[in-house]
Amino acid sequence: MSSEMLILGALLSYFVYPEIIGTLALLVSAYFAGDALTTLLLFLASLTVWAGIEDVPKDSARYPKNLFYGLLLLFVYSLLNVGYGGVVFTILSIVFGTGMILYNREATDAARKYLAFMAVAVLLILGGGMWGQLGLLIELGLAPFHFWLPAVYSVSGSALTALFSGLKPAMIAGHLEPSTLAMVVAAISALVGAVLMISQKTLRRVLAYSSIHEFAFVAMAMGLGNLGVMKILVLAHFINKAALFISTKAVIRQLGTDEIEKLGGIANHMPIAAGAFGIAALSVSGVPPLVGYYGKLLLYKQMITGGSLYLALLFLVAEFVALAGMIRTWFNAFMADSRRRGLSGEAFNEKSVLIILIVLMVLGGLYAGLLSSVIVGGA
Amino acid sequence: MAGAYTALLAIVVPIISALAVVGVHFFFPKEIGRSVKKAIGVLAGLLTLYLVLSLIGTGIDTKVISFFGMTFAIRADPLALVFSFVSALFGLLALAYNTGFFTPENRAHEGSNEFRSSFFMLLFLGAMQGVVFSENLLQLFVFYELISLCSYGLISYWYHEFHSRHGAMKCLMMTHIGSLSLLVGSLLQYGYTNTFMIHGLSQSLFSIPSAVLTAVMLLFIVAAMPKAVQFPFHSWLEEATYAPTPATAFLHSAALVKAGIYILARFFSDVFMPYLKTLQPTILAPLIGNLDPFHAIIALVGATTIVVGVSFGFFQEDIKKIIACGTISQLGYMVLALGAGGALGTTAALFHMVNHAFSWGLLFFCAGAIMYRTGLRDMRKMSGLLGNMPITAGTAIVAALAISSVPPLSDFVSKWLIFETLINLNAPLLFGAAFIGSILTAGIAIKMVQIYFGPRRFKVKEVGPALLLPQVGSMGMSLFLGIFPQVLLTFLIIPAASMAFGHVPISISMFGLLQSPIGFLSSTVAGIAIFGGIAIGYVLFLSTYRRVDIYLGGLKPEKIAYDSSQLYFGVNRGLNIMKITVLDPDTYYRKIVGFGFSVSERLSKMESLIDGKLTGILGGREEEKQQ
Repeated sequence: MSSEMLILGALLSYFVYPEIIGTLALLVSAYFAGDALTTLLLFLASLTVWAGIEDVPKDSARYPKNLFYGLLLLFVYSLLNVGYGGVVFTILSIVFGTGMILYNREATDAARKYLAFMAVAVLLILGGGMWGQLGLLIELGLAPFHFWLPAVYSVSGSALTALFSGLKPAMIAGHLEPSTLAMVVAAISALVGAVLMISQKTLRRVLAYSSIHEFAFVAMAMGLGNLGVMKILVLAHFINKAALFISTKAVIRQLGTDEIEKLGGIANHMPIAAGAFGIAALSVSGVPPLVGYYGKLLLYKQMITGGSLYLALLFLVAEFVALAGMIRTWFNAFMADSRRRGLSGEAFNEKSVLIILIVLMVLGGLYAGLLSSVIVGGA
Repeated sequence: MAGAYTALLAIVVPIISALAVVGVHFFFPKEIGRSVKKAIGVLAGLLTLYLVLSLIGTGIDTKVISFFGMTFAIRADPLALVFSFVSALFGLLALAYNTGFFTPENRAHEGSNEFRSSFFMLLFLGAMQGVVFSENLLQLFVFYELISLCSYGLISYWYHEFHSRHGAMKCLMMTHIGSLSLLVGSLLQYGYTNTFMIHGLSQSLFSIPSAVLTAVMLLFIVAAMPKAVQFPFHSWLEEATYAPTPATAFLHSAALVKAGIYILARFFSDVFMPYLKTLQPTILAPLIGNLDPFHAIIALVGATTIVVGVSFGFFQEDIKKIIACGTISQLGYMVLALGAGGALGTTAALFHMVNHAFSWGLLFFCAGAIMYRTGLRDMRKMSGLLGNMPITAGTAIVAALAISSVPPLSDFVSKWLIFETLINLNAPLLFGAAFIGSILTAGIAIKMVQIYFGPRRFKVKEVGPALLLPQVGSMGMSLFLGIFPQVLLTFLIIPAASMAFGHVPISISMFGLLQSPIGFLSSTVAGIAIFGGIAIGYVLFLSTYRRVDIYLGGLKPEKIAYDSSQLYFGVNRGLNIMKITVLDPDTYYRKIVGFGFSVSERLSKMESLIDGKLTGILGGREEEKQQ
């Protein structure tokens, strides 16, 4: 029923109110989703789509936005079915994903890169075994196979990036199997993502490298064979990244740029976006009592009690660097002194979604045990 | 009500009040809302204090309690109660101060409002209670991080100013090191004990391999150091003074820094004691006494911090930073006393911890009052404030006497106990550090009170009662605890120390006469002797006073006067060299951060190069741009 709703939504959105139909289709499909995790993920997807309206300026759009929302719903549809239809739906998700990336005229290079990496990934997945695992790691965007990820994130709108960052890994990571390969790539990715993050100049690129760093935790959980922790991590990651990307979108809509040097001091004009970004920055770095900490805590517990102390320490160091990078970005982008005038603040859709996400980040952390028992039956 | 339930309420009441402050801020009209927020702050402080006081004498109570779907493992015991009492009482004073600080007359920061300050201070108070009453290590970790977050929110209060942002980030990153250490230590021990309960760990100590237990204990020491501002993790405290004054006073005197002291007291005077008692003294025994290796590390860190902290104070001209430096040093005393260990050392450390809150907190309140009126932080621009703000000046002078350990003020008693511990321990190195630190502390006290004397520079008046009452209250506590130390010792400190060590070798008589292993002490009698002596001397001086012209070698004395500051030139120079070369860890931190950035930039360049080539291969345009 969930999938049918998405296809119906894709068709309807071509004719009337694409944003509203897109949001509603995701909400309804969330209602009909079979399990708690998918319900929550689709609910978050609907929030990001609602907040992502007017994401790409009209003059930058390559084709009409009603087509974009149709592609978006089909992208979600194919991701939801990756588990059932295997590589066919993976290919479909890549095709729809590329179509969405191409919505922005300036995203040709990014789309080309995405397509090339995904093509390699699909070929490897078809090879099966260890090659298939490597293909999945490329699809996730882990270092050193991550080049497509910052390219796509830095030219796409927030709805798309949030879906790429939140929904895609949730649907793909579950197919990873416990392996040393996943653990090694995860360790490299955790460190590389965090180190590269601190020298980025734009908000979206910072978030891209933060995602590479975060996916490392997801891959590590699967490398250790802990599906429960992976589920908690992807859900928390989607909540955090949705808040981060929507705040970024609010900034770009107001100022036309996300270059950190040119921002500074917008917290006075956009307190909710600034607050949400700050809380999400802490949450994504695993600071308790926010939603991002619990999955990581369980992962560290498994690593340390399971004898992988050095690996845990490496992740902790990477996490520390990532926290520094995120906080620095937040301060420089939102908090510095500013004499800006004439900014109107967040739009209603951004504001409402950011408030919901703030509540989710706080309550998700306070009730982490309850949340995890709902989505994995007591991790 | 059972102790654990009351303790849980002491955690919950400030946190709910913090949420109420948010509600009021967003949903009440501005003017009414402001008064309601202030009232919520003070009432929550009062209620928390009442709950904490009601725990006195209830003994030890441990329970796992479900509350609104969350599970808390709570342990109310005498050790937790000491810390809880200090944070609740001083928290109340700071919240009261907060009500008068954010007004349009505040020249230091015009136009600011108290919303975030009230919210974070209340949340902080709740989290601090959570730290001390937690029986579960992971729960402790969460509250421990929560207080870091609150400090971060408070220090970055004026976020448009660079110093505030920088200070907040430094505080968060440094204290995060401690939290991560606590987390790793907790998870490491879990692999062997299969429990996160703190006293479960205590019962299973001998089931952990000694190498692992050593690592766990070292991690717990590192966990405490940044929050307890111990060398080399102390440098964030100076920059934390950019928080609003009520918050600074609270963080520096009663909350954040005390959380670090609590970790040391809880684990090294309680939880790990059964194992530590089995260890042999170190080879440094002739210098530091018969201490086991872990207590030796703690004591040496404390001793170093005493000297480093107070030395840095000599170079400060900032009215709040100088107090922060002194605070670092005083925390060194507490850590030193905890490291010296035993019943007497723990008693001394806990007593000094309580006294420190009131005497150094009072100094922050006075500094805040001066900034409120003058808008200045630089002490070189201030003088003659005694005439402008006599009550503030009076309380500040009492505070300066207190930190210089002058009887009958409370610091005298706790410092006495610390010195007595070190004498009993036969630890000349530690005694020397404490002794030098004490002298230097008196030195910075003199530097601090100089601003009240000399010619008047400002046309400002005394601050209002909202700012004066907390000052007078803190001063009153400092006097009360000095004259009647037996009250605090009997009801709070000795029960806490005897929980781990059994007998505490101090007996108390009716009039505050403390009988300890090396003799007896009465702060009141000592105070009467000193001030009585000064009074008699002054009377004698007045009775024989007459003005005569003095000539030295045929010259008036002012002609041949020697600038007394020259006497300290050598000391000053020595300290300065030491500060720049050895003792300032910021030098090394800057190098580490610089190295991190250079690695990141190199890696980024390398990545761009590969990325460009890749784009070129795929027929893109980026390679052309790069070429």
